[in-house]
Parts: sequence; C-alpha cells; structure tokens
Amino acid sequence: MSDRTNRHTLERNLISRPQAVIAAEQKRHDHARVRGLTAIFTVLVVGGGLAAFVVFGPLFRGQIALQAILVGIVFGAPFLASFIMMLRVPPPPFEASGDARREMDQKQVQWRIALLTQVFVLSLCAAETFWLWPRLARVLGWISALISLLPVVFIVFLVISSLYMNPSWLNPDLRRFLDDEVTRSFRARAQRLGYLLMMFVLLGFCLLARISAQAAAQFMPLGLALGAALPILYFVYLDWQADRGG
Amino acid sequence: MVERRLENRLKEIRGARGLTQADLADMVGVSRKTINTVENSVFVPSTLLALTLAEALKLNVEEIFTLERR
Repeated sequence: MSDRTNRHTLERNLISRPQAVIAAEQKRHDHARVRGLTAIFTVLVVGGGLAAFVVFGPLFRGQIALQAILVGIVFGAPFLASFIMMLRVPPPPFEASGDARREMDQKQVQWRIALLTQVFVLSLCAAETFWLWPRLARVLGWISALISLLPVVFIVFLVISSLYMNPSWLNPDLRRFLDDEVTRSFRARAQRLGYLLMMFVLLGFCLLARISAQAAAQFMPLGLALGAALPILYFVYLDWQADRGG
Repeated sequence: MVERRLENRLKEIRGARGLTQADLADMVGVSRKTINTVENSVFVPSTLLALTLAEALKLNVEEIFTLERR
C-alpha cells in the first residue's frame, strides 16, 4: 500500500470514525424516544387488554366471536409492538466498539426480558382462555379456529425470536458478535430441553388420547405453549447467570 | 475413562495485567459474557477462542488452559 493510500486511510479513520460515532449517538438518542413510546404503548396495550378482557369478557359470554376478537387484540398488539420495538432499535456502528458494544450487550438483555415478559403474559392468557378454542372451532368453523390458535402461534414465534434474534438483527457484524459461542451453546442446551419436554408432552397427550380424545385435543394448545415457553425461560436464565459477576 | 476438566488461569492473568473483563473482551472481539463464563469454567471455549485468547495475551495456550484430572 502506498504512503498516499496510507495517509488517506488514516485521515478517513481520524475524521469519519468519530463522526460516525457521533452520528450513531445522535441516532440512538433520537430513537430512544421512539423506544420509550413503544414500551409505554406495549404496557398500555397489555395492561389495557388484560383489564378489558377481565371487565368486558363476561359481558360477551354468549358471543364467542367478540370474545375471540378481544383475545386477538390482547395477544396481537403486544406482539406487533415488540417486533416494531426490535426493528426500531438502531444498531451502533460495529467499528465504534467498546462502549457501544457493551451498550448493545445490555440492550440484548433488556430485549430478552421484554420478550420473556410477553411470553409470560401470553402463556397466562393462553392458560386462561384455552377452553375457548375448541368451542370456537365447533361454532365458527376452521378459519376462526385457526385464528383462535394465534396466541399459541405468537408464543412459538416469540420463543424463536428470543432464541435466534437480537436487537441488532439488522446489522450483520453485531448479529455475529452477539451470537457468540456462549450464546450458541446456551441455545443448544435450551433446544435440548425443549426437545425432551416436547417428547414428554407428546407422550402425555398420547396417553390422554387413549382415555379421552376430546380432552387431549383440548389441552394440546396449552401443552404446545408450555413446551415452547419453558426452554426460553431456561435460555434467559442461563444468559442472565452468565452475565452475573465479573 | 478418567474424567478430565479444563482449568484456566484467565482471571489471574487478566487481574495481573490490570485488565477488566470488558477490556479483554474488546481485545479478543467477544462479549464480556464470554470472558466471564470462561473464567468461571461455566463454558469450555472452542480451540479457536482459546488460541485467540492466548494470542491476545501473548502467551501459549497451555499457560492459560490446563487439563486437570479428577
């Protein structure tokens, strides 16, 4: 490499890197407000949705379609909000390194906690309303039955997001950085647990189906939600434990 | 077969050089979490990471990692 090229590279590094860092800081600052608003929105939607479900649910006892819409709102809105939140988090420039990467590390923890909270809320909602789904299937047909299964689909999607995605998903360098050896090893352990759990849950359903096929069909979404939620709990626990100390 | 365990002196070496976990993580290009788990023997690093750590600390890999018999 010639002296001129070297000087050019040096000048570019001296000038553009700090500017890139400053620009990224500014961008993060601007987006912090958006993230804050999204977080407030999520809390309001989850809280409001649950309150609406508790208060207005009994009023629509005879109207299964309305109950299904209510459940859809309670489940769907926080799911969408979380996804928007993830996409809105601007990844810092990988070259910024040091503080920016540490900040990203912290964000990953926050992101997992946010998802975990949602998995927990969704699991509670699923446990509370699972009795509704077979009735929906009988009354409204297969499309509505499919829609009514959305909570479980959301839980599975959230689990996959938690295991495989991170706030820097859109930045390939940071994505690689956050998906390090330890994370991959923890993910493998969580998947192993998930596999074993699903085998036991399926075995349980096979036994239950021999006794009562209807009960087995009724409890299946709940088993699926449980089998999906527990590995993510384990994964977050391992991640949290690894982050402690030092 | 004799059960063997990988021991390491990473914490000791890092401390002696006045480096924080974050500093070492930056030098190696991994997260602080990775350094923390390796130091606490929660995670057995790959050969690639062990060699990278040794290279960053300018040591032989055997000076950081040793095989212990139980």
